[in-house]
Amino acid sequence: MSAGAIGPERRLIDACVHCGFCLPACPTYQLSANEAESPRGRIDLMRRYSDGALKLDSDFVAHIDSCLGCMACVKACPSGVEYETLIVEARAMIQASFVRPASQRLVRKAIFALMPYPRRMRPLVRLGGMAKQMFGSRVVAAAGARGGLAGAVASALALLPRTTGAARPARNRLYSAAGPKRGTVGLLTGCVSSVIFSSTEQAAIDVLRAEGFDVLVPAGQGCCGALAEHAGEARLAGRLARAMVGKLGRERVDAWITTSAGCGSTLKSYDRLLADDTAAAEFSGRIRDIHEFLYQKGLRADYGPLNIRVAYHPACHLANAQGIVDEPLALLRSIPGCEVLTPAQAGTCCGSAGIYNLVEPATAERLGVAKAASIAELGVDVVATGNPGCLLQISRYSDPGLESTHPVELLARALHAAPV
Amino acid sequence: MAIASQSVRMEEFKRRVGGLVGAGECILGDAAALSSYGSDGLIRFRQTPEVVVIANNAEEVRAVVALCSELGIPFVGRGSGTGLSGGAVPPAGGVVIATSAMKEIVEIDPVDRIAVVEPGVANLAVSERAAPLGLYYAPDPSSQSVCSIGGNVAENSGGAHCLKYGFTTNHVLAMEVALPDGTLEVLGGESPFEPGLDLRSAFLGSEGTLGIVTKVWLRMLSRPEAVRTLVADFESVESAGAAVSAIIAAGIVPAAIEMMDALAIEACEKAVGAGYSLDTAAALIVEVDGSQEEVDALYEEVKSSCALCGCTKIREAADQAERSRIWLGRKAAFAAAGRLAPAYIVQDGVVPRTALASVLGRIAELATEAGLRVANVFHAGDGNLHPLVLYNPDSAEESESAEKLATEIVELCVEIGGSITGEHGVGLEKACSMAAMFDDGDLDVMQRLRTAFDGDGISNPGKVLPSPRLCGDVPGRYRAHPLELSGKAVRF
Repeated sequence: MSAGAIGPERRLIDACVHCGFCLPACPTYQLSANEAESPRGRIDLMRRYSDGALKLDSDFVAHIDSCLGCMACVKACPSGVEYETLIVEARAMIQASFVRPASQRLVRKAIFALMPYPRRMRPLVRLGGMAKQMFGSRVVAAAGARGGLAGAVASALALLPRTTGAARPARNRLYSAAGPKRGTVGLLTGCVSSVIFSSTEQAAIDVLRAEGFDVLVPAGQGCCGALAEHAGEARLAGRLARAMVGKLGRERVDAWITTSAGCGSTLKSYDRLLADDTAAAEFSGRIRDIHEFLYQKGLRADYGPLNIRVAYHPACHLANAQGIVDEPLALLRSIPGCEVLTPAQAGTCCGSAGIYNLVEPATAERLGVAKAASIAELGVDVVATGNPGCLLQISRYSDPGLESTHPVELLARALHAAPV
Repeated sequence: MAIASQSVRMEEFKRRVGGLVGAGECILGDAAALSSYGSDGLIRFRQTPEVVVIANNAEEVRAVVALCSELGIPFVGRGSGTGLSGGAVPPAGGVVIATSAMKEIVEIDPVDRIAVVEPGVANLAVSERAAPLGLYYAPDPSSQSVCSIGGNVAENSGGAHCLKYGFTTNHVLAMEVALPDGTLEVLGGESPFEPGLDLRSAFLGSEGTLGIVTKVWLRMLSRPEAVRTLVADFESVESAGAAVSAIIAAGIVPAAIEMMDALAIEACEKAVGAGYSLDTAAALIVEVDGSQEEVDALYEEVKSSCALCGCTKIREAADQAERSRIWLGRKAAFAAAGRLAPAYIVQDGVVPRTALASVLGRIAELATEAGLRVANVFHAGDGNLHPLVLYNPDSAEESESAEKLATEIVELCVEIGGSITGEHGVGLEKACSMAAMFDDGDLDVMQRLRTAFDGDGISNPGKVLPSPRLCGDVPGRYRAHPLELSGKAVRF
């Protein structure tokens, strides 16, 4: 990808015929009823900028910033507009040629100096947990509604899970398949995920082994660049992606498995992010979301009964960006005694959206509250979703009694519940 | 002098409008947001408004209209902005009053079968909400998932199923409107017959020139017991057209008869994968509904009519899912044309049903002469054509010949006894073509009706009725005025 200062490609802009079919799909338009907060409105801004009729001012930037990048519009668009590319290019253009106010710059700088680096994040998360206990969640949540760095820190604290207890599975190990071997896979541990969701990692290893796969977990994998790419930090995203391909590209595995929808969608588009890099394209072609992979291979292990009611929340980057809709439902439904329900307006974003709930806390909160309410209405024991950001966001706004987890953790639990 | 006072009045408007809007939003200085309200679904026309008000309730709409009236500022109401004739393009120096945030379904009475809705509610949302009661709202524009009830009332919108069930006007009992003098009135009533002059009907379909809808009482229908849908392929557009005539001549009123030609089928198939045949010259979608016995009998008759006219293949929808897929393809047709060419003009005309085949032949000739491709989708049952003129906007020459071809097509419709629009409205696009259809006397009567509602001409001026200043007094196609060409005046 180019530096991005020139802005989105005109050909992609002109594919939009302004029909408006995206409006009902767009969460920010549904909240604001404002044309400039809709996909076709944002594309129109790009068109007018390209025509020289609009300047890149703070209002323009605010309308592009407010996009969640949930891609619900991509599914709704009959004209095949590549909005996912347009928004990323528009954001890259903004980052390259617009000077944000100091407070916004500081927040973004802090986020991208910390989040992609598990070694920096781990002590902070531990500290954050202590702070939360000391000051109480309510104080933290109230502070989160404010802007600037203080608000972003408070939002981050409010998002931290109540426990991050599980031990991290050992790195640089090949966990061998249980029973007849069906292949070898690598497990991508992610950045934020690896710090907060060790239990998901462990569950993925358990289930993949039980299904007959050797699982390689390399150390020091780094960040895939998804958070940076979605926020328009094109250069950082490119650097992180290149490092990951350099580190992992030569490992001899049949597939690279990710348990994070956001990472998966970016990893699968490395061929675009690192155009002309054949190693990147090859690596990208081997990326599989864990639901997608298990569903394609077919479950063979024995899963015991769980007797629970589960709400499944389709993460936008799984359902909209990767088209993985039915697979997670089918996997969950294959667990005996697991009743799977979907909330009303299941396709609407929960407001997590990468770093969105740190930089646009007000909109994120409205969406988070609505999503938690629609899940609560189902009267379930567990909410399951295939993206770490969604898990944090939904549990932040849900009753503390509601368990939130990744579907693969339920599979692992059922595995252990299997009658011997 | 006049210009100065206009800007002074706008300054005053901007100072005062904020106080009228509580929970709603006023867009005053945000150039980007104002710009995004420049066009509706027809992006060829654009005019950035001075102010946009996203109203939260009827009182806010009324108050803003009253302020416009006091200061003589032109305004336009806007729903979802999906119109295809430029009807919601702001007047120069004017205000957009958006009802997009007013999307509450106030109540649905299952006994009297009346739904009371705010104007920003999407057409399809009404049917979705009423589904558990076994009711639905019949008019179904292709954009029904997006387009608003308020916009439907303004445009008297139709849809595929209007052949049997009629247009919006057949399904609206009453509406509350903000009149251009800043008062709220209810036109029509809950009973099917209202004494006195029928002002509801005068307002309905007036394209925003008589005021803004703030609440609507809709007539709801029971879901038919049975529905059956088929797709019939034909070797030529003529034989498909003959089948349409044969079905109607047999005394059947299907819920819908839609026709698509090969190019349109290709676009829809690319967009949706509805399972249409790609190797056929034309296809009909025919749907019958009613009681089970009635539907079964009609369905067989439809099939034999198709067979008699040389149908090559019939695909029958096995279940609701397949029916939905067939309709999804058809309803995506306009937007899907974006996959065939970088730009297109959707034309909207009506011809006598019996002339369908010959008109399509003539359109093909005109297209060949212009060196352009035209895809055809249309509501064949009521003769409502939607030719899609495909072109490349990067070529000024091609853009111009596309516009010329689109106008020739609509004039062809009038020539053989049809109309310049079947459902998209006149708006900005066809205001100057009105003279091709109506004589001075007709237009004068319309103008007097309009003035009775809007003496100052502030409610969506420049739409529907041709303005003598720029269309010229000569009937026929719009011709640019010399002042407009020299940049000294704008068309409004």
